[in-house]
Amino acid sequence: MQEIALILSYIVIAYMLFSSLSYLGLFALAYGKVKKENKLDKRESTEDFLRNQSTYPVSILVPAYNEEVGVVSTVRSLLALEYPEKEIIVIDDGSKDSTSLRMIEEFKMKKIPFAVRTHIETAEIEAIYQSSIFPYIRLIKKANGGKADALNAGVNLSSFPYFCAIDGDSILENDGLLKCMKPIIESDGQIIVTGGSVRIANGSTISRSKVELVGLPKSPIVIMQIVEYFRAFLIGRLALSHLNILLIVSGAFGVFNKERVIQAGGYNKNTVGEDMELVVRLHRLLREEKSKQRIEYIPDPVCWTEAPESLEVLRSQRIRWQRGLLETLWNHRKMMLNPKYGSIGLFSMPYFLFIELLGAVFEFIGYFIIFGGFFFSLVDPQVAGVMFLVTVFYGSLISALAVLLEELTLHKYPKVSHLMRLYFWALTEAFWYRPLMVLWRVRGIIATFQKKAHWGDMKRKGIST
Amino acid sequence: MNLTHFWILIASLFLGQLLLLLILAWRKQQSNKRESIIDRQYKLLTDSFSSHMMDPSDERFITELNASPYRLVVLERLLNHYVSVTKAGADSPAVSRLSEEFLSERYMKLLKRGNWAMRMNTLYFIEDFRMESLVPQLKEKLAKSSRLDQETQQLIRTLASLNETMAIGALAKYPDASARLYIDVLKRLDELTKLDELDIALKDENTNQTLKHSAISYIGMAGITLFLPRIEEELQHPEMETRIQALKAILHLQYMNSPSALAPFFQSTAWPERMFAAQIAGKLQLSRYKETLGELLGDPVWWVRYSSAEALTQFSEGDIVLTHLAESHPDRYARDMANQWKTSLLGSEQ
Amino acid sequence: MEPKGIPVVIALDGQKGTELFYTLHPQMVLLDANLPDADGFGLAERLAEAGRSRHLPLAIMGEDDRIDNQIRAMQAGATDFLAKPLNMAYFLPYLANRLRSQEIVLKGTRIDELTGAGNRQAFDEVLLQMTNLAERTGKPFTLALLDLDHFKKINDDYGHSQGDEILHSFSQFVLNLKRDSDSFFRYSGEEFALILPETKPQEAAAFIDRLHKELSETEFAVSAAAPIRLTFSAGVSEYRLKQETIVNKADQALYQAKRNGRNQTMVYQSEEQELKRKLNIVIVDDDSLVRKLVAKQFSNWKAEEFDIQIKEYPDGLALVDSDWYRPEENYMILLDGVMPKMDGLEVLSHVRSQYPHDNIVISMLTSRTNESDIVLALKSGADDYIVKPFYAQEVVARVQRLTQRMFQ
Repeated sequence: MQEIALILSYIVIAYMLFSSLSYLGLFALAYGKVKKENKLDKRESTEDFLRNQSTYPVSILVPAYNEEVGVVSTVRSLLALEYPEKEIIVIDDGSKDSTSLRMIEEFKMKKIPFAVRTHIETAEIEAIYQSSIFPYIRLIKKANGGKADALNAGVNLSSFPYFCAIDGDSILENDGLLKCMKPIIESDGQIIVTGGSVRIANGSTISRSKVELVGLPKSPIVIMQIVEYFRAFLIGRLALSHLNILLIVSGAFGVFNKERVIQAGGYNKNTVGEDMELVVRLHRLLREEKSKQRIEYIPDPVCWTEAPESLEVLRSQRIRWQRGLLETLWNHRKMMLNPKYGSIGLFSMPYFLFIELLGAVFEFIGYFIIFGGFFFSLVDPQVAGVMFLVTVFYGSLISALAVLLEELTLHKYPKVSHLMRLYFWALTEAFWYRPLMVLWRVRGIIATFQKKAHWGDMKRKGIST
Repeated sequence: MNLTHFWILIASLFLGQLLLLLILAWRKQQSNKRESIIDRQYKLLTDSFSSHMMDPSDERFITELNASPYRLVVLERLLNHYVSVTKAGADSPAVSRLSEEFLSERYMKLLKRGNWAMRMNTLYFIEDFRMESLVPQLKEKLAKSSRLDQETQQLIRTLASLNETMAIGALAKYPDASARLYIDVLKRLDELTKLDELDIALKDENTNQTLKHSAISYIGMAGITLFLPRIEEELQHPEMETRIQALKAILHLQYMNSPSALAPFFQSTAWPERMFAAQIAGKLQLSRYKETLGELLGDPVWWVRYSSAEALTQFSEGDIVLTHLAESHPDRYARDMANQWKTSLLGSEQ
Repeated sequence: MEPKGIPVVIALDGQKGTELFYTLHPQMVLLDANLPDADGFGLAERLAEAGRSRHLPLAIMGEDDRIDNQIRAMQAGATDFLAKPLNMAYFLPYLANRLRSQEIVLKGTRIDELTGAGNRQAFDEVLLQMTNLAERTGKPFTLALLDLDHFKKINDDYGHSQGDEILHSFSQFVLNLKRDSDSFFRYSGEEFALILPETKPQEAAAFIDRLHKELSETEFAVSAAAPIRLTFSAGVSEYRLKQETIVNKADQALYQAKRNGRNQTMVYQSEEQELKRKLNIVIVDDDSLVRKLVAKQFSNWKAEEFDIQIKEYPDGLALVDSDWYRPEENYMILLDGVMPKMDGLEVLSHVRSQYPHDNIVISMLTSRTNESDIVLALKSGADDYIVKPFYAQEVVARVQRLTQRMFQ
């Protein structure tokens, strides 16, 4: 028994050291680009496009399920988006609350007959409404079919060549869409997907859809999620995008080439991680066609989203994410380590498997060994001590480093006290937050094998004050 | 594996981080202080600035600006904001006077020594403020660059905005320069220079096809009807890409002197030509092609069918024609397409 | 046309077009043969009739350029038929020609053909002559401004062509009663001017009161309805040496007559009787520099006829939540289209649904340049649409033009 535990300890320690190093390596890759572009005058570099006839029009899809609190303020922030030509399509996926009613009242919507071209099969469309104040706002009321199905219905109704999907509880910054479309336009359509970074709105002052003051929330649970975002977005995704192997376009915000998405068959209804799954499928399509087209991640365009404040909701969110990841990796297992898929198959897929998915399992074993080592002499206390230190290093110091690196490059939180609080909370990560996450992520893996798809019920308190 | 070693390693990493934290916190505090002063100055100066821009003899702004510790940054922000909201901004003598007087020295330095982002920003500002005194520096910089990277692209745009026609020649040095870049340059030249350059680009002697295509497409986008006869000539061009660009431009210009020149395109073997011909026939309501559009509704390519149906809806009795075709067209796909547009006509009416 | 320096006002349907035609008195009308709410040819006939006295160029535009349609256009009284889509290369020189020849023709005439009174041009000339004469000989004269009461209601109730009839009859009524030495002019719309040489203001007022009395006994026929009676208000002012503001003073007196309940005459008293009308210029924009620039530009506008007050609001909500409205004042609202808290269009709909139209003019000042956005704003009740980036001077010029109609 001790023998096995010892071997396991070595494996886990080696794993943690290895993945810490890969984090650092990935950040080093991203650092140059972030640093280089950070000081660039964003206004100047996008100004040209604002008055340009050669921008592509974009359809904005807002899937909503029981979002009566947030949906109106989301649409309002979309109205203020600076973009030459856009339409907004809200898809009410059979909500049980008054999501549709709120939209109809607020924007004086009227029922219209409309021939929807069915590119992708979806659950039954009940009615389509159009706003009489802003004719480019439309609402689809459909039977419940899940988020993927709702997005597919939106794709069917959309009339523009690009679409962007944004969650009903998120708020996009004024020039976010312009910044996301910029690489697409500049590459003359060679970039087919761009994902923008997501930030947590809790703690910031948002009044009627405008972010007025960036701040930190009180709740440690949310602060920890912010630290987590730093770690994931700054270190992982940016570097992966640099290597054109980005797998996740966060569910909260991304712009897609519609034709390509339709070609790939739209969003997959059978997974909870439909956003990631679609991106992987698009990658696969590109590689199989040997296309030169790319998928890119932009560190800058910011979309604000409400992070869960209760452990209960956070738990179901994490379980869902983990399931989505596992399902996607499983569906596309053919790509894993397959040289035909280039760096996606050889690098990106293994990265997500070992670091993002199996990481939880390794860490779980790690915590188990520390606990066992100190209290039940499962392993030599010396080994347990090393394991403990490595865990602290992996869990806390890397996160704390992520906070520092964010400050070094993007510095989005304005006050010195924000930096201090973020840093010190990040240090505590390995002692309470991380074990919780690890536990839930392991639960997520298990849950995948007991398939049951549903939208995670998240109690919204509304993003706007 | 020794526990002590790990302790030392982790502790030193931690201490290193703490040090970095302190440095960053100090830096943040400094930059916050600076930002808040600049912000206050900016707000304070908005009033006298707007007076000065209206009436340059009002010197209050200059005095206040000179008293400000961050005058260059504040002025840069004010001017930048001013040119983005007013039309007169770019050609305003007050803007170029202020920028030449206060900023040209700083920009000269930044162009040479700044980091990438600073150099890019400087190029944007030189363009926005039309700082002609910096043209020699820009040209010198252009001569040194050997790759068409983002910076060189912006350098060329900036030169074009200062009405330097050499910007086109500079682009031509790079065979991979895209049509979008040529268009960026063309639209920045001033009216008269622009017409001359378009004229040169359309001439047969010009062997730079990308330039020619961009000229044609720009004429369409900007609606310069003066060139309409020249564009119509291009419909006879032996190269398909040129013909397609000419068709697109005509679609934008919404006019044709001799609509009969469109006839051969409906029989073209290339579907984009058929598609654009159909779109033009619709947009210009060329009723002589109505029958042809009906036939194209059965085209093997979806886009051509789609455009023909859309074109038919443009005619006043389009709905009747489509209803008729939805029943009687020999091709099944054509009937589907006619049906779809028939219903969309319904839906679009509010 | 706008870049060529020709101001354009757009109406999306026949009703709005007719309203703008009668309020703004445009120099030229371009009319689509197919209107959502009216037959273009029918409307053309009415407008051409109404505009004949000022030689109005009126072009009908149509997709269907068959000869029958062109004939119909000519029969309706249009001066031109333009085939759609317009050939822009032809259109601009065409427009310039028409406007130029209209200007030349108008310079030659001195009679307002609709009413038979002298026209504005003649008024300006006579006024100049009279002041020159007064300066040299010291002979005073008096100016009276006469404005028909509730004329807008007549237009609304019986239609604009009946309104024109009434203007004609009223003009004839005054022309019959005035002394030979007095000159009578149509000043603008339903406002008339009477110049009475060698007359004291009290004498003038006595004469005008006689007009009031006679008028109250006169019936005016309107087709398909019982005859109606008219009243007017009048402001009187005497010319004194070295004064150039006689028209403004008469106008102020007229305004006071209106405020006192109409159907009466007021004589302009003295300097201290300052009862100017008030124009509030309301700038709603979240960009402080834009507000400042526009406000500064307006502060240079010294209007004789009214007081100008400039108010700034950083967003739509701030305006809507504030207590900004006084029914007796006039408002010109410049609205930013894209504002985060409450979109410009919503502010527009709000103001249009909650407050009267007469004394509020709204113009969008926005970076939304899509055709559909413009149409939407006009449909929702905007009077004008100014695109950002703008010329500050242009904004003021357009606003001056738009606000004219509130002070006629």
